[in-house]
Amino acid sequence: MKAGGLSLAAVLLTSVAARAQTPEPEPADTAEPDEPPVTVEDLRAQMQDLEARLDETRNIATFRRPIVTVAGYIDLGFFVPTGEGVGVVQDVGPNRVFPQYANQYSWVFLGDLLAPTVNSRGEAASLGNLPGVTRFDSIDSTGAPTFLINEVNLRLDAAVSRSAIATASVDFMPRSGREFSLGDFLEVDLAQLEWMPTRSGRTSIFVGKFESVVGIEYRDRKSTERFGVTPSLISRYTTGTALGIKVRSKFGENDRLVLAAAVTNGSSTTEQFHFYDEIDSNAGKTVSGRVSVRPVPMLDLEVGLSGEWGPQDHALDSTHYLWFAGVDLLGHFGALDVKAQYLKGGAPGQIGAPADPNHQPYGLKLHNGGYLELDWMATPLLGFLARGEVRDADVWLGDPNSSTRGERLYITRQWRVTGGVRVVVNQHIAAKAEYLHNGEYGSIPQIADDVFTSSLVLSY
Amino acid sequence: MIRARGTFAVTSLALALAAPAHRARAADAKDRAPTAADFARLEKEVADQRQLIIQIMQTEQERYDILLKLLQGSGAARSNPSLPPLPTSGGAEAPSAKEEPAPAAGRTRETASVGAVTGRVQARAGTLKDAYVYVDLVRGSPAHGKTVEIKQKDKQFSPRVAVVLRGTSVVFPNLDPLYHNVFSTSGRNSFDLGAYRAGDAPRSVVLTTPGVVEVFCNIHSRMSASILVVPSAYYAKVNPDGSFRIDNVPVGARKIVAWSPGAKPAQEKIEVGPSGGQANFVLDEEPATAHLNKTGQPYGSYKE
Repeated sequence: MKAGGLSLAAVLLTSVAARAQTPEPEPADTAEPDEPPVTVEDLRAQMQDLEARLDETRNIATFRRPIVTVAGYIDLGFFVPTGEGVGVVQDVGPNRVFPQYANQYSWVFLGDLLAPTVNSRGEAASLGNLPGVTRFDSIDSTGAPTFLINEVNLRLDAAVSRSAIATASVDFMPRSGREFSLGDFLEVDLAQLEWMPTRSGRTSIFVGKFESVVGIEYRDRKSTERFGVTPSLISRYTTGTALGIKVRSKFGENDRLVLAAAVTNGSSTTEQFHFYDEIDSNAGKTVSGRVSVRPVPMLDLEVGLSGEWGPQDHALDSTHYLWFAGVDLLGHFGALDVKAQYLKGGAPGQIGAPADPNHQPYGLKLHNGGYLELDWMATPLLGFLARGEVRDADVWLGDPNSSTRGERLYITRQWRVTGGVRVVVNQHIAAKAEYLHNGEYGSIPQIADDVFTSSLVLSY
Repeated sequence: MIRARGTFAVTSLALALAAPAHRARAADAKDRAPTAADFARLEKEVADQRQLIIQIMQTEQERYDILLKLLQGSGAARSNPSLPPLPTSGGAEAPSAKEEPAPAAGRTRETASVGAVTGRVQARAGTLKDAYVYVDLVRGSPAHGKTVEIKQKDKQFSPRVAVVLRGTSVVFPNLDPLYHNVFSTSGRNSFDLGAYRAGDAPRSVVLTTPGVVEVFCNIHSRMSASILVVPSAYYAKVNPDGSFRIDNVPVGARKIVAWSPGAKPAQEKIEVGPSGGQANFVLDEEPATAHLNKTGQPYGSYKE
């Protein structure tokens, strides 16, 4: 061993000596090696020097990290509707289902416009050609099987300080143009600053355009977060993003209690629905809140109560109020997620003749709305979804008791069951497919509006 | 002795050759904006330096071993108090998170050169969970080949507290059907295992530097674990009544550290004699602080 050690030292010393004697010019950043340290103290000093330089290197690396992260996804879809892909029929003629409304509304429709949902945005396969209104029918498939780019999303998150994040999320929707106009549109989905003023980071204050606090479905409203393809029938009331200010605080171990409250321009309904207004047309603001608890410490089970109240969007005054109230449940049990929500709500709509036809609020009676969804990842690759739901609501425009009569009335008694499959190829690719079977109850006739839909989500 | 010197010479020469080059490049870098190439070079240097440090530590250990054997052979083991002590053989047996770590009372070396450290650990307010006491600045052999497992299940680490001997490999199997990304930014034990899910090969990290390693998931902010990397097998878990005992601690001036997750570590310097030493601690709660993700940004309140 001694001989081996001596040989190694000799080889190394010879090598160093040979390097020193090389006639080629030495690079500027090389130097003669120092004498090797011979004491433990020297070695420790050498180590400290190395460790200091390591820290310096790490700091440089840390501060070179970008403060902006770019993310997003492409959501590609393909769907096959039944019938014409339209969720409503007109109640007209001598065999009207609801003859009592014949003299109160110009048009009465039965069913749910958004029941034949095809994507995570909640868009319908077709809105049909209903009389009396020119709608923006974003897909307008006329019942044809269709490939579709559901959404291209771009999200920017910037850490503007250690306790604040600025977020912008923009959706791009390529759609069919018509009569020399482009059908493509974009939507600023989120534009918010989240500030966490406390050391624990358990309280957040949001300003800007942010996610709702009503219910639980807003958490997986985007297709990268949603287990399946389509939202529930009541998502239109709870998953919109509104402008204002929001506070959210968590308390207790494992967030035993979470409180959230928001003051916003308008409601948390989705933008395409009748009740949403991005810019307020009245001075009153909408307040909303949610309280959730985890009642069983050992279970990942959250139960929440939430609600919303405020002047109706599109109204020119603050005298008519839209409200929602509901309960929700969210449980994670290993590979099984259980989600349930129940919601009620109402709004009086326009009373009397409208002062401005462009600012008429819709009326709403959401008698019952709710769903139960089970998401099960059978393997890391393959998951299954089952959802049952109901929506019992009346929506109208205009005052049926005024001299001008009501303009239109939608009567919905809808149930729906959905079965789906999810394949997670890797962290960036997920493929999903669903079949939605829509049914009507009460005296509403059955409408052919089932949908098979699928989605390939490519996230980046 | 010659072998130790030979290894020592290798390391020292490597250091001497590397250091001037690094300094010259660093001076250049200050005069201009850093580039991607600089960044890559720095990353490589970090890896090289880390490797060098490990080599130095190993060399140092070998040197200690040989010196102590020589001194013990000549009966002069206690004549030079500045010499670092030789850890017990327990150092090679890295205790896992499930094992009781203190060297067994029966594993004594020369009774005159070791003593037991005893004492109590209390919380100033509330109760302590998973408190440990260890002897710092005493290096035992690293735990080569030892592996400890921390599972990721139901969006939690399990166990959430682990104590490992330096050099232990910690493996993080993901049992959830969704992706997790385990990482730590705890000083020299920083690592990033990337994203993987159940069914993927579990990824692991070798923790070489004593200290506390806070482990998180870059996707789920509520996932956290604490790993205490101890320098030697001289450590003990604090009993429910607050008492502890560490046997076979080499005599001399020793730094004793008490640690518990969620509390500020406390340390005390004591003199350990053949009759032992005493150290008592009162740990203060450390206010909960939101941690950042692996890129140094806040998570946001909805990343749960």
